[in-house]
Amino acid sequence: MKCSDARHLIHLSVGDDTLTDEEQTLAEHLHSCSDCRSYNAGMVDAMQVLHDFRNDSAVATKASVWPALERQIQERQSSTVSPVTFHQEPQRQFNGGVVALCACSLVLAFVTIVHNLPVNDTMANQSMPPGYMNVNNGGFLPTGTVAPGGNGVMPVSNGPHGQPRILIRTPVNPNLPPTPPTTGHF
Amino acid sequence: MSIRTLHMSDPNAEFRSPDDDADYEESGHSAASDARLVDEARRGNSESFGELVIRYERRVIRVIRRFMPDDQMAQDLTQEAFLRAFDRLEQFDPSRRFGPWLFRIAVNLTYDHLRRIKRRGKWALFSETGQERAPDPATEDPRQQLDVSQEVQTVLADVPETYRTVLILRDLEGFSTSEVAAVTERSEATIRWRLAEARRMFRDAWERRERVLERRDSDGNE
Repeated sequence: MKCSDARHLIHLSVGDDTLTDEEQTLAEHLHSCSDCRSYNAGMVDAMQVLHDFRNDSAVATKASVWPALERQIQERQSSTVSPVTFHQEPQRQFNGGVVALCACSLVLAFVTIVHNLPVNDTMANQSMPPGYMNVNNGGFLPTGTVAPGGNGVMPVSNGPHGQPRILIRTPVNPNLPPTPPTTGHF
Repeated sequence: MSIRTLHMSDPNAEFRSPDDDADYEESGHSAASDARLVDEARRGNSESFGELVIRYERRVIRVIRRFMPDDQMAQDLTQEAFLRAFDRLEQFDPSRRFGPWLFRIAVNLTYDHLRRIKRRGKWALFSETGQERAPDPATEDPRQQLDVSQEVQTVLADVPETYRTVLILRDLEGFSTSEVAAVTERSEATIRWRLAEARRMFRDAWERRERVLERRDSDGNE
């Protein structure tokens, strides 16, 4: 018998939950394995703690719950046809606070993202060749208009499969040509 | 070491302790079978349901208290468990035993309540600041004042729910493995495996706690 199997049986035997043949197999193993013997001793100690706790924590006798329960049942019976056909669903209250918290989080995230978009004043109102796109007005401003504080350009290149790839804050990217003067629109 | 106290000869008494039976006999009620009482209660006889309540209430409150040390809350949950049982009597399968069904309702209700408390704590708008939570080295750690029972309760709370239920019902409340299987609606083999794991978890947690106390003592002596 492996020690792991023996320990499983030890966990059961400390509460008299082993079968007769299991008990015998375990006894034979414990006879020959000192590690499992000490493990068994520790397990017996732990169970003794539980046993003591069980005896210590006696519940103080309280009055029966039946009188109060009977009143509740009678109230229900008087308001319904059958005493057991009703089942009151728990009332749920809409928690507007959680929704407000989510909304605030979304707004904060949006503001943070917009605030971190790359801007470059020196490139404002300059012409921009293909490969650069206007990003800082989010499409809300007319073409050629630049939002205050930004030039409205973000370097763009093609990915390995020809898809557009936006390059953010890559001033030293060797694959892009030096940024030429741009007009502020794509 | 046997910690079973249930008397198994009377099938209707298997979920009641000897103390409960003494009270029950003193109360003057006839020892009608659970099945008959349930049947009468389903037909609208609340007196019969009352007999069932008196028969089981002490055991139910004790089981709930194992999960939740608050006496008043345990009392309220006991009442709620019986009320829920009454509401659902139509769903009860009369071919099965009433005791396991009732205890399942009580245990589930208790776990629902504990989860609600936990959730509420997690989503509370205001919580203690880190500064307040930091222990003051000048004052004595209040945890040292906890007695062993409270420590056992704390260690038990760290055991995962599935295993804690089995451990409490079997080792603290003295249910047999077949009764635990009936309450949890699992096979006896599953319960035996969970019981072994639960005891191992309890032992590990208890030994961890003892190591912490020893380390604290040795630090204090230095």
